[in-house]
Amino acid sequence: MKKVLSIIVLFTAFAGSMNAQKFFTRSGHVHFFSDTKMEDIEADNHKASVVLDGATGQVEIALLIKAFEFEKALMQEHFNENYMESDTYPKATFKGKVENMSAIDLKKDGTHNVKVIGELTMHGVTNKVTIEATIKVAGGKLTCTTKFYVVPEDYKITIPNTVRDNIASKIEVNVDATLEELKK
Amino acid sequence: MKKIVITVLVIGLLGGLATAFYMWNKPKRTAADEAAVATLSADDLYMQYSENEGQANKAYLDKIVQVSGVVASTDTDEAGLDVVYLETSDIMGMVSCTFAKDNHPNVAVGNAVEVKGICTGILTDVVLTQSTLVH
Repeated sequence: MKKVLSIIVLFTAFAGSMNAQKFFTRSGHVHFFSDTKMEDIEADNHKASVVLDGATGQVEIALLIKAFEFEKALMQEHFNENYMESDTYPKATFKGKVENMSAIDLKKDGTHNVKVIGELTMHGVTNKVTIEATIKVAGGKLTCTTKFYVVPEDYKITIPNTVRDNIASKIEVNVDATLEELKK
Repeated sequence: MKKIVITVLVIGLLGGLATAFYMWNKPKRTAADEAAVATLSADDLYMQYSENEGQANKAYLDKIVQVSGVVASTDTDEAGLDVVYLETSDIMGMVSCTFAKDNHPNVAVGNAVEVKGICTGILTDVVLTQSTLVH
């Protein structure tokens, strides 16, 4: 089984020579933050793959759950074993579309606020989400940033009552990725 | 009798605190501290993942693998960690090795190297974290 993202990357790289503008990074940064009175929990992942079709606005993000780094080893263990069950669900993905992509001139430097509608999959559960994001065009590179919130229960992530107060009911997620045009 | 109970309770409490303290400050797992479960080429690892991700995950996910290959490129991520990409026979795919904190490998593009890291799965590349240079 060939992984989905690679197929898409290969497909987007080689199919259709008429619209060349595909942007890509393999080192997108995803950060999440849980803020409660009891404790702050945060983690970073610098290995997210992001592909954006400059013509259609199709976007795909994928990351490996085990590549999230926490400050404390124990938190990382609990995150993987008790909550995300990353042996069974090793990836999280987002597939969606940037609205009004055609209105953005990717040849001209500038900052654009966009709406992205798509499906977020993690822990084996897929939900429809709408995300506000910013695309900054500078020197042919696209820096995409967004902040949105995820409710663990929406993804069937059960948090025991004993630690319910230590984990925010909504987890803040930040994405920050600089995409370069995919060379053929 | 009362004294014994109190002593036992205090010892129990101290033991509990010590364990909690140790657990809380448990050092991060890095590849340098553990033996590899498998030694193989970057191409072999990547191909096993391309052909059957589920099976490859069963064999390697969260385990230490030692991978040999040629350095395709190097990078430093936003967290300041060094990343070494190893070539495979697939034009899109590589084995990406993110090094452990304060572990800076002295390698250049084209070098033949051997890297040990924790396998976290595959996206476009097979991703290793907390890596260390073997040679």
